[in-house]
Amino acid sequence: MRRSKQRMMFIVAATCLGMLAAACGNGGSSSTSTTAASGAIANQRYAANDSGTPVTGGTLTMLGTGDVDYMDPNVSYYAIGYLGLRLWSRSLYTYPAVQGQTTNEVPDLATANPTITNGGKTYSVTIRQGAMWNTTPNRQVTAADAVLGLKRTCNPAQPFGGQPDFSTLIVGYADFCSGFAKVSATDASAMKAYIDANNFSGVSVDPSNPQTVVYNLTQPVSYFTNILGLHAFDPAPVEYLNYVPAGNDLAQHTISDGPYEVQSYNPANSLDFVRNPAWKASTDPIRKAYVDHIHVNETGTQASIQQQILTNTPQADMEWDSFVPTNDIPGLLASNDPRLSLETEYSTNPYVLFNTQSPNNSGALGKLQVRQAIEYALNRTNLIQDAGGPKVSPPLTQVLPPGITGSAPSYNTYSYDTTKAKQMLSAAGYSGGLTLKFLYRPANQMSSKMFQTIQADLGKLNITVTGVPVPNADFYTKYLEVPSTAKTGVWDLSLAGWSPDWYGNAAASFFPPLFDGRVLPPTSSNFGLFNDSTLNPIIDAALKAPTEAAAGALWHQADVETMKQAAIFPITDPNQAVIHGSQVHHAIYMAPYEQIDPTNVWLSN
Amino acid sequence: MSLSPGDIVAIEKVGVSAGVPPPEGAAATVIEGRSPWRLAYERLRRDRASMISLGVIVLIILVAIFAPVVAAITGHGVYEQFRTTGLSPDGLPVSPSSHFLLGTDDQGRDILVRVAYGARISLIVGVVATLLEVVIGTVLGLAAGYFGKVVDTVIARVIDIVLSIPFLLFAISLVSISHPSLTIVIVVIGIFGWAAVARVVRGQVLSLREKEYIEAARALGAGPWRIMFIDILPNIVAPIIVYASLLIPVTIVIEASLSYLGVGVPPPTADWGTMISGAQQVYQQAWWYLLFPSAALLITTVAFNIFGDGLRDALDPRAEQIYK
Repeated sequence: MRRSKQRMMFIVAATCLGMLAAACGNGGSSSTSTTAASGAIANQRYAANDSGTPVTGGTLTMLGTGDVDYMDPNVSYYAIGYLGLRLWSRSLYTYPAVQGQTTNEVPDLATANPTITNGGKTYSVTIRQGAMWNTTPNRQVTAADAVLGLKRTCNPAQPFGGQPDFSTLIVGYADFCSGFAKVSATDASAMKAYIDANNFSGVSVDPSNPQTVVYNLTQPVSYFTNILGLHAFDPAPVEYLNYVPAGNDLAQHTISDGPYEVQSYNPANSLDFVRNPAWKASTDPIRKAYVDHIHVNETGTQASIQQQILTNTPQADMEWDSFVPTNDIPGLLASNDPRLSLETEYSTNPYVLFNTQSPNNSGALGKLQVRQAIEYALNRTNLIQDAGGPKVSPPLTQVLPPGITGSAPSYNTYSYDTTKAKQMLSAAGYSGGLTLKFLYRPANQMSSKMFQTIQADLGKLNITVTGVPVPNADFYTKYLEVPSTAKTGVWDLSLAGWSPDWYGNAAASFFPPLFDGRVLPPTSSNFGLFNDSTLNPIIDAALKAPTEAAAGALWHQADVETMKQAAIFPITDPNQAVIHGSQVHHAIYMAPYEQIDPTNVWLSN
Repeated sequence: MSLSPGDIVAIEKVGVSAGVPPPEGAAATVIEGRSPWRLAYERLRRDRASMISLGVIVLIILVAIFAPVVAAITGHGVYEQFRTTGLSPDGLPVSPSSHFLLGTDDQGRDILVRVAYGARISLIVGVVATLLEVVIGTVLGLAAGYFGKVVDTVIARVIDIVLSIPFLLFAISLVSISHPSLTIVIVVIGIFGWAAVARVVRGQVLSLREKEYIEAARALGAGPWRIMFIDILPNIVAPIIVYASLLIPVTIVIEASLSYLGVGVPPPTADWGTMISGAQQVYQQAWWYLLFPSAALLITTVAFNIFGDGLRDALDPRAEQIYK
């Protein structure tokens, strides 16, 4: 469950070079599609540049504006951290750099899909022979490493942010973690002692095969294989126990089982990767690892990076955590620049949030009719204009974006209709209008623009929207994640965004954290404190569904119910725009990393 | 008894230079007494740059006052969004045309109307915040200069502290803590801007308090407050006015800076700093969005600066004149 931050960031940082872009397009192949592989994602554009015969060697230079969150596979939780891990930390399952299949999980370290027994409650995963750590001497990656990796996720120093995805699902994990939380967060030896001394039945090594790790679940679910693809489940070498998890010391002593190893890491400055001699291509069906060396410069600005790549500067092959400024996209599209990829994020970002427990206006937003009136009154087209237009931000009219199991592309409960909105508001007893407080971030361009658009839209209903401007840093931590601010009516409306932790069968990464009223922030991200007695049982049933198909049907029901109850006003499932130099080939955009996969590109010069 | 500065009366001969005898047969020389203010006014009138600047300032004031008339003439409200005619489908502003003379912003609003309304904010903040700075600075400067000793030491140290604070960073923090608003912006600027005025006033008072007319007032039984505000203050009005006129453009720029950084006047209020900030995202596609509010800000600050300099030259003819 990841809160979407990136898009907000790029709007803030956007700077424009559109005219330059129009002048600099050159070589390579591209294709444009109005429908994606899933058949429902609008305005995607692929720029793989697959022409030519792959060449091995060279230095790939990636330009960015920031650093990874952590150099620790069991803790890292953001896309940029995952992008780095793609190079040096292999997962049990991962996503292939194959156009149209980039969100379909396939075995990575695992030899095959898990063997599921015990009525769907036991998963056995066998790790490939020959997958080696670059220790001295090289050592086989084992099931014991996978057990250690999972144990490290709830370390007291820096626990993995996505634990709610599986904390109650894996037998004994929650108890193990509550005990671990009592251990000193600064004492690596104390943490090592706890991990060595404590086991839980949810994860273990198969006694008959040291390469097979066994996971026991509290209930059968259809998405556990997807969860196994999280980097949090990556095997961890025993040497990591000598360091505080996610700490600076560990960051300088990483051990790799991927095609590259960290040659140098200069936090917030640069990262250099070179080939890992312990890695064998025969054990890795995912990464071609064409280039010899990858240099990441983390000190750029969005504008300078864009300019360097557009002008095909030799030292600017790809973006790291940067992306094409929104306002440049129309120009690049108009010139049909073959280096531009525009692909879905599979997120709902942003969406309008209703504070359902606000006491303001006699609890108006707690009333279904008022929320529904606002759903009818908000003009999605206007908000999409604020987000760069429909090419960049295709409309989303439901909770689940296209491509996520349970999503129904044509489903729209509320079409823009101010007459109906006025009638509903009047029927709810607010014909005289009401005043709503809109929590927003003035330093965030899109937040500020959308606030003004919503203010104008709702003004037509005689709803006065007043701004509650707050600094970026306080927006979540001091407001949305603090239920008392919602309950005391500090705000009525706001904007938030959400990206799933995994893809495909990923509705479990949307509904429980966003709409289950039995769990409140900060444990969940149900910022509007929405609670629906009809929805909660549907969520429970969908989580327990034994198959993806069964889960999909239930998640769709959940989606319908959520929208019927007007819990949020979805706006868009935005497309991410990334660009690469003409010299970069097989440039496949990967939603989990929000970038092109560096382990599969090759350079033509 | 010597004359106090406030009692000085300048005497000039009209039609002849002082000390030069009139031509034979000429009518008796008429001598007209003119106050320092009159002399200053006449010097100011002769300063073309200052008069042009004053004209620009008056024009800006008129634009601010009649901003609703601009809105009425164009038919475009200051908050009115023209989503179809004022924006491209991708949300980009439309360029200047007969419909939108200065183009639109990133919300499809008429920049002409918003620049006009933005003048109101700039002038309100510029004048009110400067007034606040001057009042606080004058009172504390008077007290420090007149009372001296512990009072002076304490106030002088406070002045030093305030002047050493990185203003913009502190202002951003302070505005961020409380929700940004026009009032907060004015108060914050006032709180941080008074120290320089206080230092100037203190210096003036230190020299004036030893004058004979102050001693005379004291001998006649005048209390400290009377001496400060009745006897001293009128004699330091000129430097205060000069300083205030130069503070106005500084204040306007600070307000625009705070708004630019997202901690100033909150949207949708039309404000030049906020407009410039918004334009940053699209300036290559919509130059007009950046140009016109920036030009308005530039013209206003330059006009106030030139006028302030002219005022200084007029009130203190010994100072070197910069603009002619």
